[in-house]
Amino acid sequence: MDRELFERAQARADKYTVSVCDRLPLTRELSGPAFVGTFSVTQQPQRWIMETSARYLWPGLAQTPTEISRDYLTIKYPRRLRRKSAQIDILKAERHAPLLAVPGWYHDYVYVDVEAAYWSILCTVGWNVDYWPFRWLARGDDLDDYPLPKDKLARNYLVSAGLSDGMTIWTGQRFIEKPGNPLVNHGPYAVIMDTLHALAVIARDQCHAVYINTDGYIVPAASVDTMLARIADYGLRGRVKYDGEAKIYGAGQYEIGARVMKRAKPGRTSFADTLVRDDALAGWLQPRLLRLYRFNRLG
Amino acid sequence: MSDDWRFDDETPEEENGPARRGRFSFLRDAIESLRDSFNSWRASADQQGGIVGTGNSWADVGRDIDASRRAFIDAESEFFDEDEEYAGWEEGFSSGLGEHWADVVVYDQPADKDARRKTFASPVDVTEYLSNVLHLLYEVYYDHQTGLFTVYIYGS
Repeated sequence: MDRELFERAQARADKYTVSVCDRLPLTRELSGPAFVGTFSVTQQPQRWIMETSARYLWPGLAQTPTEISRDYLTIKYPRRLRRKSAQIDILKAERHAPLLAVPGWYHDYVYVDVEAAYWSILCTVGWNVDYWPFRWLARGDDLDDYPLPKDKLARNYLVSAGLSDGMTIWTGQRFIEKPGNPLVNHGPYAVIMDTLHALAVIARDQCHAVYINTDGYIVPAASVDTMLARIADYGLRGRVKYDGEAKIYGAGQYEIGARVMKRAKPGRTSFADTLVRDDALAGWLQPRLLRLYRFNRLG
Repeated sequence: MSDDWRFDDETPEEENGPARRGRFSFLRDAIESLRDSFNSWRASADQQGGIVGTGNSWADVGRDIDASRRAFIDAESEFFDEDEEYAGWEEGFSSGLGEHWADVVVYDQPADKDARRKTFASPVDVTEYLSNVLHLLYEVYYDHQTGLFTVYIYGS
C-alpha cells in the first residue's frame, strides 16, 4: 500500500507545479477551465493546496486529505463494488443526520457524544460493507492499512468519497459537474446514519434528551450512565464533554457549561425534530454491529 | 454512475450454456438446504422478539452448521456422481476452473485468506445474502471462537 500511495503522489507531483497557499485562488481569477475542490484548485499545470489542508505522507510531497483517501480506496478497490439494484435504491434513499431540539432551560444536564463516531462505525463494518437493512450486514475489509487514521478530516472523507456523483469543474464562466465516481459506495454512510438514528431514538426515549445533533446528545445528568451504556451496546465509546445548565434555543443553538454556540440567542428559538422513528431497524442493527465490533477487536 | 454497476443474476440461459445452467441449479439446491438447516434456529430467534444473537439460540448455530456441512457434502457427492452434464462442463473448463466452480460447503476451517470475503454476524443474514446474490464459487466458514460467518468469494 505505501509504495503504491507514494507512486501516485509522485506522479501528481511530476504532473503539476504545486503551491501550498493560505487561500485558494478565487474562481473569477481563473480564466480557463479548472478543477475546484474544497481543499485545492487545479488548473494545469498549476495546483494550489490550502496550507491548513496540506498533508505530508512524505517530506516535500504536499497532498490534500481527500486525494490521499481517494488513492487509498482506488488502490484497495480497483473495481467498482457490486450491489443489487433494489439494494442500491435503498442505500441511496435520503438519510439526514438525526436532529432534535426542544427549546428550554434545563438544570443539571450533560453533553454526551460518540467518540470518533463515523470512523468507529467504519472500522467495525469496513468501507466495502455490504448492507441491506433488515436483510444482511456483511463486514468488509479491515482499514488498518489506512495511512491517516488519526486525521479526522481525511478519515471522514472515506465516507463522503462514496457519495459524490462527480467532479466540479469551473469552465471559466460557470460551474459544471463531470459525472461519474468510480468510488461510489453508499453503504458506509447508510450504516452510519442508521446507527446514529438508532442511538438518537434511545437518547430521546430512554434518556430524555432535549437536544440531539448527529452523534451528540444533551441529556439529564441522571441519564448519563444509561446513555453511555447504550452507546457501548453498539460497540462505540461515549464520552461526556460538557455539563451544567443547558439552554436550548434550536438546532445548532445551545449553551451547556463552557460550551456556548455563537448562534445561541433566545430570539432565534426554533423547534427541530428529524428523528427516524424506526425502532425495529435499531433492534435489527444493534446485535450485528456489536458482534462485528467484537470481532474487529479480536482481529 | 453507481446505477451502471449492478449485479446481474438474470443472465439469459443461452449465454450461460447448458452446463453452467446445471451448475446454477445445484447452487440453488444447496442454498435451499442451507436455508432449511437454519429454519428452526430462525424460528427460535423470532419467538424471542425478532432480535437475533441473544440467549442460547445463538449457541445452537454451531450444531446446525455441522449438520449443514454434512448435508452439503452429501449433496455434492450425489451431484458429481450422477450429473453427466456437469462432468462435461468440468472437463471443458478445466484450465480455468477456479473461477467457475460453485461450492456451497460450510467449512469449519479458514478458507483462502486472499479471497474476497464478507463477514456476517447472523446466519440469517448469510442465508439472505446467498439467496439473493449469486456467486459461482464461494465457501462459508463458521468461526466457533467469534461466532461469526465469513463468505469467501473466489473469482469475479
